[in-house]
Amino acid sequence: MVFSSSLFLLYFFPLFLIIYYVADVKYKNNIALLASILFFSWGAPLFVFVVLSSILVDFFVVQKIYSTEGNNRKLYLCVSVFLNLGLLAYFKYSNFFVENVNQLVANWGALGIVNWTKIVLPIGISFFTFKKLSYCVDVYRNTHKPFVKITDYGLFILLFPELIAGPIVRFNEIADQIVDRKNQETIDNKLLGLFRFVIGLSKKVLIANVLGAEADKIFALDANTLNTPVAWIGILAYTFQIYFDFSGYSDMAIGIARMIGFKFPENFDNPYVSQSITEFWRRWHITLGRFMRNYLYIPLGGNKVKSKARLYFNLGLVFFLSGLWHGASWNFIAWGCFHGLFLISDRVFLLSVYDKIGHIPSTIITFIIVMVGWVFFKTETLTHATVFIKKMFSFDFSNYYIYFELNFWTMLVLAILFSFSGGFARVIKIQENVLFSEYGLRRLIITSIVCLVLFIICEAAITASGFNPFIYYRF
Amino acid sequence: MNKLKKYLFVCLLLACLVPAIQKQYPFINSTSLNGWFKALKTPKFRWGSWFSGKFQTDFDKSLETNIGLRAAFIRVNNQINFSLFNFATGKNVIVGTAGYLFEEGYITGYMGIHPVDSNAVKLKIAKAEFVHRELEKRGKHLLIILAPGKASFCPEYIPYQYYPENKKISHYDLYSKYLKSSQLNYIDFNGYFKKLKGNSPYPLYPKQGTHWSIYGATLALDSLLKYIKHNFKYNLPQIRITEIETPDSCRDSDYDMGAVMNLMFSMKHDKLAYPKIEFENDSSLFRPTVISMGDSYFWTFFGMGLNTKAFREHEFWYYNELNYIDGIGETPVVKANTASAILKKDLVIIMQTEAFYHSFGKDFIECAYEQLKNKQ
Repeated sequence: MVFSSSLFLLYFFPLFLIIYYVADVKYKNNIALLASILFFSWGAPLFVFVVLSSILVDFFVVQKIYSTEGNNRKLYLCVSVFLNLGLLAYFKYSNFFVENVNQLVANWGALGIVNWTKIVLPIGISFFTFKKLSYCVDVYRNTHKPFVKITDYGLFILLFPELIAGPIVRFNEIADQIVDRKNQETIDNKLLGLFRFVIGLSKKVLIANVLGAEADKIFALDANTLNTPVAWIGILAYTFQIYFDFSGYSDMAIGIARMIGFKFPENFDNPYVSQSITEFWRRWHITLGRFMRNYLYIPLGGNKVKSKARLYFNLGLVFFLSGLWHGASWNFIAWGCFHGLFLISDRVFLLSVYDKIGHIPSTIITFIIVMVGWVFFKTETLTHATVFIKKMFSFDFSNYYIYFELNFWTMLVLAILFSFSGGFARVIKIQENVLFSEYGLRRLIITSIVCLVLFIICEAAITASGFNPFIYYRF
Repeated sequence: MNKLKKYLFVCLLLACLVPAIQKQYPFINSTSLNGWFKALKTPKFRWGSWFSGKFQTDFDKSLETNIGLRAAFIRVNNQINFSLFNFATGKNVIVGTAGYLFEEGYITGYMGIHPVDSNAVKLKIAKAEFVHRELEKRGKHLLIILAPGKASFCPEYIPYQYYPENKKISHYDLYSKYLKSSQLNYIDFNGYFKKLKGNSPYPLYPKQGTHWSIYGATLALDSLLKYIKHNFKYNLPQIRITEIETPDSCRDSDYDMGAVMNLMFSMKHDKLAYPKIEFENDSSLFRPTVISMGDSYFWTFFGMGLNTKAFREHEFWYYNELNYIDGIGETPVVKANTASAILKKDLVIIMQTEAFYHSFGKDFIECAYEQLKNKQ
């Protein structure tokens, strides 16, 4: 089930909220858990049993980590990590692994190709695996006590607002909120949560979907035939589509969570105003960056390693794995490595260059680097990515017939304005006012009306998206 | 203050539920949507389809097409797209300049975007000539009609994204050229309408209609009946215009594209003319039996009574796929019986519109040709 569907917006979401609000505080977690299981089952009706079983096993293994001392503690940690990463490896990476082994075998001209039935990738597996890892590692590190009730643990893993696309909420960030549900549901949280949800929905439906349709159109064309302006329009559309789609989803997740009394961490902070790739990763998918830092980079030695070579190796490894986490394909790995390369370059020389050239050139250069990176993310093969990037920089201005509707240009301009205005202090203040500050009555009423109108427009766009009637029945 | 906030929140939450309540207990009068589309039924729950995910997919799709206030939501969306972005959401509807709407097929047909092969056109005409000769031998007739096209009629309103100044040779250009030098009986309404443009007292094409206006169709019907009478010597009933109404609103197909836009507010249109016609009603007149093969343009003649008042028996082969027989209803066209069917009639009409010149006759000519050749 996706947030931007009529089923969710008009049925699941309001009905869940009504039941949740009416219920006594002691039942709220169970209601949220049941709703989350239903939400997940809708998209993964078989895999839900695997997840529930793994939650059961994990819960008891982590109890053991907490109650055991000495080497056994580490053993149980290894069991938990192995189980969770094993699930992820099997469901997400086995197809990729087998395909590459077969390709390698075929290239060597050898026999013995592995026959394999493709495994369907279950929704949300990358996100809840990280949450499960954060649970066992945080308990192992004594950052927080484990849950006493398995239903609380189940809720932590399956809580539907962040189940499919994050933000990645770490155990120690939310544990106390799950255990103690009193006084978390304030009317301000409910209203501001609803506003945040509608803002996210609008970003996704009104901006990302419009840009995405055109980006898909361009990337579906033979890249060899494109000219340079069309290639740039395509990647520009995708650059803003992915931001408004992903950050819109995070807004919706944060908004729903707030409405039901949870405080999720922020996931985006105007990433396209970054002045270096290092800064970009502090602003883009913030919860993933923090996860990677806390659970991978720091255990590898972090910044406190003896040699610079080791430091660069650690950075490279983190970004290689980060790329692989995004998807099982060489393109995602290339995307991760591409970012890793610029992160290392930042440390070697780029940051000092940026210092010299000033804010605006640094922002433009960083934005172009990010855009080039998105080509790897959007395309399915390295060949396609390479040809597309070549077209971007080939200065080919030959005629190319393609037409974009006015709504595309309008949304692109709006996306650019919204994305880059975050570089101005006054705009940041407005953003903070809208998202976090208390509302007076007048502002509350105006915002409510605006949100209601936006909600209607979004639902109208969703409903109309599949409605293209013919004038007459035709063969 | 908190109490007010609570009321506000409850109102917003209930607003989300309005479509679901409307679906279950309709309390708002909602207009229906125009155009041809497929409504989906709610799937039956079965554990097998649940675990395969099919139930969920089908349920999502059916819900999207059945939510409460669906028509209102769609009209809001379409109005925004049209008013703010000059963009139409109806299938193949293109917004031209000055409030003109076009069906895309007519623009691509006019512009010559479909690959043109003059040898294929010549071959098609040669086959039609063979069918014509075979029919003439038996005292029957074949009539080809080139219907007009809105894009040909008013290319000045084609939107700039089609680069109307770059028009290539179209199928119409070839058919009109080769029909002229053929033995075939044909009427070129496309050329005729272009000649009438600027001289007609009433619009021949409505701004928001895909077909000729009712007034234009009336002129065409008059010409068609006269052509049949003079060329085939059938003394069939002719028409007489008794009155011309010019109401404020559009009627029949004159607003078909405007209607399929499914907007909240009607589009501004020209004042159109609606002639009242009478067919000659003399029992001594000859009413031929007819098969006509065509598309939606031909429907306009139906509304005027051509099939019942000028013809004795009539079968309309819609896109050469569905056979509408007066008094019987619709049945699939049996293409294998094309020759035997046309040999039972006095007159065969093939009417093609600009959007489909590239597939002229929709296999009708080929089927008739092959089958008549085998009968020789």
